[in-house]
Formats: sequence, C-alpha cells, structure tokens
Amino acid sequence: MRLLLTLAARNLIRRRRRTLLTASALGFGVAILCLSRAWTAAMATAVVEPAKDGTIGHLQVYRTDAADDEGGEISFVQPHNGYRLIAGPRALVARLLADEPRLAAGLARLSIGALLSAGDESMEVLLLGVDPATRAAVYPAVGVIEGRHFAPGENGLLVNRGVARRLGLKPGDDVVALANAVDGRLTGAKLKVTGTWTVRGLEAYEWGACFVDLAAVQELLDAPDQASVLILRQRDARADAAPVARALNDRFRREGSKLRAFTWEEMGGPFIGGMLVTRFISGILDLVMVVIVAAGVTNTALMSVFERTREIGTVRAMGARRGRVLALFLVEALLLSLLGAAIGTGLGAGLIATFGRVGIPAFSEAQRYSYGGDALYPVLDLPGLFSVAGLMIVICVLAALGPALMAARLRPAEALRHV
Amino acid sequence: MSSARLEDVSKDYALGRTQVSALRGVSLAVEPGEFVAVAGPSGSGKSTLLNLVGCLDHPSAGRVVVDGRDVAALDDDALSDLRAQKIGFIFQSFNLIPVLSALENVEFPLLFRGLPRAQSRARAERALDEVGLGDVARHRPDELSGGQRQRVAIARALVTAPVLVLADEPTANLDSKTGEAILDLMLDLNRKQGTTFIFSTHDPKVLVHAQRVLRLADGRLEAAS
Repeated sequence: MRLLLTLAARNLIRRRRRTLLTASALGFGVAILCLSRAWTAAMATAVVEPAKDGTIGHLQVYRTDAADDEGGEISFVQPHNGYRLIAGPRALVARLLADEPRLAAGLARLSIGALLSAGDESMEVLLLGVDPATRAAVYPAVGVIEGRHFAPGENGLLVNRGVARRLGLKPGDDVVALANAVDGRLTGAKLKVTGTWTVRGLEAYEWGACFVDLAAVQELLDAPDQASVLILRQRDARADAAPVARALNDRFRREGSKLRAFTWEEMGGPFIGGMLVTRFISGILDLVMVVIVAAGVTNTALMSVFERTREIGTVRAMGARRGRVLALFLVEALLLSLLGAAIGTGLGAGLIATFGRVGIPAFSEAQRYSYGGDALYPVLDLPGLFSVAGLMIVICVLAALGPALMAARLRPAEALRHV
Repeated sequence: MSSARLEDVSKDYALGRTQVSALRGVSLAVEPGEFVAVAGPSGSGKSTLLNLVGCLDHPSAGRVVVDGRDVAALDDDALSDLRAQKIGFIFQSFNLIPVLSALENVEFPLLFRGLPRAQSRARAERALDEVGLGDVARHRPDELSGGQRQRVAIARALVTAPVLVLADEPTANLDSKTGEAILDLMLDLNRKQGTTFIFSTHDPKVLVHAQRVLRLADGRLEAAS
C-alpha cells in the first residue's frame, strides 16, 4: 500500500500542471457547492424556520374535500370561509398527539376572512381562530410586541403590526369584525385588541392577519366545535416532515376518515416557495457543477491511462493483478480529489465567511421576500463543508472508475506493445 | 521438469482484415539453468514467443507449460501470480517506472509477494548491489545512463528469485560495449544463481554468449545450434 501511495502521489506530481488544473477545477466546484448549501441553509434559517414557527407549522391536516365548494384546490393562505370543516378538532388533535410520538404539539385553527372596523376605518383581514393555551407550543415564533395575549374565552384580538398601523389600533381598543356564516348570513362580533404580534425573525414583514380565540371565529362562522385545519408541530423541528405526514395519512386511510396531512414543503407559501425555488435552482447548478468536475476527473484519468499504457503493461508483467492496477488509478483519483477537496473547502469557507460578513444582496423584491431582508448572511457550517467535500471525493473516485477499469482490463502484451 | 515448454504453438493476430501468423507450430523446451537466445530478424516472432512463455499472451493453438503448469488452465489472476512468483522480465526499453527511484523500481515486484517492508527493502538493496548499482539506489531512471537503467531492470527481474527470466532484446538500446557488459552480467547471474534466461536478439554478436540459440524465421523455429 505504501508503494502504491508513493507511486500514485508521484504520478500526480509528475504531471504537476495537469494535477493543479484538475484539482483547482475540483476545488472551485467544491467551493461553489459549499456556498450554495450555505446560501439555501441561510434562507431556511432566515425565513423558512420563522415561517414554520410563526405561521404554517410543520404539518397541516385538512379534510380531503375541504375545498370542494371553492374550486377543489386547498389554499394554504386564503381564508377558509367556504371550506368543509373538521368536526371535533380539539379531540382529534389530542388523539393524534397521543398516538404519534414524533409530534410535540398541535392546535385547531379556523381561518376566515372578515371585515375589521375601528371607528371610520375598515380593512379586510384574516382572522386566525386558535386556542390561546396551545398557541405558544405550536407557534413559538409568534411574539407579542405590545400589550398581552388574549386569555381563553376572552373576545380578545392580537393584531399584526400591519393591521395595527392601517387601522391605528392599540391595546385596549374595540373593533368590530363582520363575516359570513357558513350559510351566508352576515355575522358580527365585537373584539378587544389585547396586543400586537409579529413573527420573530420576520419583523420586517406585515400581515393582514389577526389571532383570535377559536370560539370567537366559530361563532362568527356559526360552526361550533369545528376547525378548517389542524396545525401540528414535530418534536424534532429540523426533522423531515414527510414520514410523519405519511404515517398520518396511512392512519386516516385505515380509519376511513376524510382527512389529509400536508407537510410544510407541500404547503409552500410565499417564503417557503421562494426558498424551494432557490433550492431547486441551486440543486440544478450543483448537479451541473458535479457533472463538470466529474468529467474533468474522468478526462484526467483517461489521459493518464493512455499515456501510461506501456507502464500498465510493465506492472502487469511483473505480476500485478487487474485489481492492483484498478487500485492504482483509484488511489490516484482519491489523492487528486483530496487535494481538490482541501482547496475547495478552504475556498468555500473563505467565501462563506466573506459573504457572512458583507451579506449576499437581494436584487429584487422577490429575493427580499425569500431572504427576509435586504441581504442574506450565510453561516459557516463545518459539518456541511466536510459533507460536500466528502461527496465530491466519492464522485471523483467514481468518475475515475471507468478509466481505471479500462486500465485494469488492458491485455499485458498489447499494453507493452503500445507506443 | 522444464522451466518452459511449448508444444506445437501457433499465434495469429488480426491486422485489420488480414490474419497474420506470428508463430507457426513452434515446439521447444528450456531446461532449468539454461541461457538461451532466440535469434531472428525483426518480425520473425521473437517477442511473440517471449510473450507466450511469459504468460502475457495466449496462443491461438498449442500448449504452453511454465514451471510445470499449463497456462491455458489459469485465469487472469492466476497468471498474474505465476508471473509474480516465477518469471522476471527485462525489456528492450528498460520499462522502469519513471517516478520511482532505482531502489523502489527493484522493490516494486515484491509488492505482489506481500513481504514485510523491511524484508522487501533489504532484498531490493541486495539485488541492486548484485548489479553494481548500490550507490545510485535513490536516483530516478532519468538520472541514470542506459546501461545503468538496464542493470536496474535486471535487478528488478531477479529480485523475486524467479525460475525464468525473459529478456526481450535487452541490448538493442545500448551501445555495443554496454550491451556486452549487460550480457556478461546476465550470464554471471545465470551461473551464480542458476536462473534460466531466455533472451531475444537480432544482433549476431551477442549470440556468442548463449549456450543455445533458437532461430526463428517467419514464425517457424529453425534448427537449434
């Protein structure tokens, strides 16, 4: 092994310029991949996590026919006045939490569009009826920046900063909410503003949404003990939500209940949608980069095999088995990729640290939405860097496998005749 | 038991659409300790014959037996092992690995024997000393003269203590004086260690060193002398 390593290392040194060019290309690829990962991770941290923790949760459960009277497609952002509702939602949430250990908390929510009036000012708002006792566990990022949270049973209202600014509201003010009940009747309720809410991490954004006690919204809609959606939170906030969604949907199918669970990724939304688009584009760029780097390594390995055909014949004549020749070229690819990975990890860390300081600027309003501000600040994540480097090393060794197999399959007599 | 035996061996190559017969019905036996030359003009089949004896190629017909083993019955790995354990090669262009030092080149075939490092290093040093190159052990091939390179190649061929050494035109790339010295060295090692040598040449001057000369013409073996 020692001699094999020596031979591989010296063969790389022998073609110093080619080795440096290939390793630099590989390093550039690793650096770009590292930056790309840090970019999407920063977006997730800056926007997606607050959005999950403050508005959409990890999973949402709707009736499968929820939107059948509203065009069929369930909307995760529009009011649910005309939706078919889930009966006994609190009890259902309790059952789901008891049976699914991966879930930490859940609440029933009824979202309706209403006209909110204060004095002479009115605006259309989204009323999010929730149980105040469970709100904090499901929406930990919702912060009260002024006033207090409303108490259970209190006809209190937490207004978003945007609503407060537009209607000139402050804690203690009375407002009137007008909505349509499920049968179309006009209904109304008098509510008292108890505070102003925002999502921590997304303070720059304003929503036309207000949190209200679930019972108050049920009364407005005349839908007692019903909710349009169940919002669920996983115990491990970073864990993939898809397996839990699958387990819940299996359970709903088994029970014959007309319910369906959606993951936060399926629900999208403006923040998450932006991040998913960016992640998709970034994934395509990553793939292109990987293909280019792999092609470079394959080309280098192929050139090496062609140039050293007679040497391969000599080594085989001395008694090297095919596996040994294969190993020789794979070890060379491994050393080359280690060099490239080292260059790339260093360069990638430097780029991330630099952009982490100066920020990646947002060039459009859509980007500002996805970045949660004017710039995004990627964070250096060493395990992430090393995983990219490790992935590239594996890809490079695999890219060299074809030429290495070609070298191993050369017939000794023919290889020795090669000029 | 012969070191190598060929029984009615033929070897055909496809050259485009043409079939070229490099060897036609060659039979011979080389006994242990012999110093045999294969003579003949270019294209007479010398290299093909050495490739077959060296298990580097398969005959189109006939049987090749090396150290008592029929090579047709061996798979690629077994042939590699046979070469590693029983056969040494010396090439016309030396075929040293350019990135390894003289000592590492000599040590290289021992890699396939799985010897401990200290032991393989000691054997390589001894083999280099035997060809008089102990003082250039750390030199790379491009720092050595043609004669020195061929001596390194001889040390490399002998380091595994093979039963048979095959040398394909070992003096062709050397001046006549150096060529003579190389043949003397091979002959000396043949006498001292009893290693069987088969070398090819088309140079009549070097044939005087051989105990036996096998003459090839158009792929056929003529009378031995």
